[in-house]
Amino acid sequence: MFDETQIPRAPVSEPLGRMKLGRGAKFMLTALRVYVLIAVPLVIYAFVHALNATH
Amino acid sequence: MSFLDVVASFSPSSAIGREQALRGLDRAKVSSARERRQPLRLLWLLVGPGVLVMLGENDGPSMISYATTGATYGVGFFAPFILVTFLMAFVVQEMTVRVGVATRRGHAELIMERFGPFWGWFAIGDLVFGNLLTLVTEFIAIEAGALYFGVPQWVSGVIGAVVVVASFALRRYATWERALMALAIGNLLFVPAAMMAHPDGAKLAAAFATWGPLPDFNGAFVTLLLSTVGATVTPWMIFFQQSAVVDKGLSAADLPQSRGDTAIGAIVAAVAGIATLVVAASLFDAHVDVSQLGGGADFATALQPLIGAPAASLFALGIIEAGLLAAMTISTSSSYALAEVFHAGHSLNVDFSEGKLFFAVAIVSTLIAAAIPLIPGAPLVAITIAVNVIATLLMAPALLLLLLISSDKDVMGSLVNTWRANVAGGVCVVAISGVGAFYGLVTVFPDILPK
Repeated sequence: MFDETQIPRAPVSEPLGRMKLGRGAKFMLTALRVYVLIAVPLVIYAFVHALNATH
Repeated sequence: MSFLDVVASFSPSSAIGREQALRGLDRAKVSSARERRQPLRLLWLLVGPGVLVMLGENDGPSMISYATTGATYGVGFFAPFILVTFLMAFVVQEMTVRVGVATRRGHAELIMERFGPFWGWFAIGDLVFGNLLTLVTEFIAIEAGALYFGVPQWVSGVIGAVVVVASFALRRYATWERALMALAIGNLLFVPAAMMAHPDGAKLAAAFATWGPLPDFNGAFVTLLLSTVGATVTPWMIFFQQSAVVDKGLSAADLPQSRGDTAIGAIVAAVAGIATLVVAASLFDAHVDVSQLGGGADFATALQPLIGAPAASLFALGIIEAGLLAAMTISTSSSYALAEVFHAGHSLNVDFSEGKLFFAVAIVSTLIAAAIPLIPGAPLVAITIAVNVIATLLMAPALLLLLLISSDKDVMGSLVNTWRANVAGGVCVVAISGVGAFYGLVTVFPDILPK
């Protein structure tokens, strides 16, 4: 017999499903979306600005 | 039939495929060491992901960042500060290991399943694009380091790309991991270089005891402070270590050794980082203007008259090693993440035929990254700035999602964050995210800092 650690760990195919979120987590994820929507244009701005500065 | 017989008799067409068979073989060795109560052999078999992720993050740009800090401020506040950043990195990566063990999924796959396509595709896009640009900076470091030895850029770029691509031909996770760990030892080249620089031991001890001398609070200090944090914790580390933990087949029983693996990696990386700071402090002591120093070759050339040719050569070799190891681990993290979300083969144990997407992502991104610095007039400064901004500004979502997952009892079971882990993780996540967001802003709008 083999113990649990000897069993080859095949990739898991069954999806876990969406996480059940509490109020706090939902609020945090919404705030994070807003943060991302602000951060992504900043990243693009930084790149374009640096691109212009070097040419 | 014993388990090893099963492994030995596997064929590509058998029910147990190559990936599971090779992983099973590695797991059998682990079980044997555990049964025979061989703790050192057990640790040796289980170390890998933690050491590689920590030393991989001591990449070319990070070592240049530590050198810039040492050359600007000498040995002082930043020596103990580097230790603290690696302590934070350990807290974050320990959560990553537990999530990998509990869910047996990579981070990209897990985000897609648990948080839906918005966060899934955002994480993938952020990671793959950021990794590609970071890879470019690794090749800049490799070429800069080699330039010190008079090797033309295109030669070192081609050799670097060939070495990275060749590592994927090892065809087995365990072999790949050991080969990279052998390369990672090169990160310690900065230690003999530091000793050859004859640092003042009393000054170094005082720096750790008093966190001083503390530099003046101005824009340059804040930028170096933030970039030091950015040099220690970045999103690719989470994706890489979680996927590597799954690929290695680690289980809950392996957690003590996996934590040890991550701790060893953090300690060695911190020592190498502090050694780099100490070497470059020679420039500070000699009042050398560091504002014109950029790459590894510049630093090595400037250091040579102060610390001697052998130590400067070790410094340049260390920069090459740092870039090379990071190129291997970072390209693999992109491969894992993309192949996971497309449900393609995502293991270093799979054949090329089973892992076309997995290997293609790593190879293509490596070739693109190696080629870009060789293009005349390529916007390398813009790329370097974009790397910093992406890695730091977008660190917050990666860390917060990790904290949410590791606190989720539904998927973590008994490995869920305890309240202590939540406090430690929460403090690190808030600190790193805040610093990251601020650094991103400072990079985009440098005028917000005092001169």
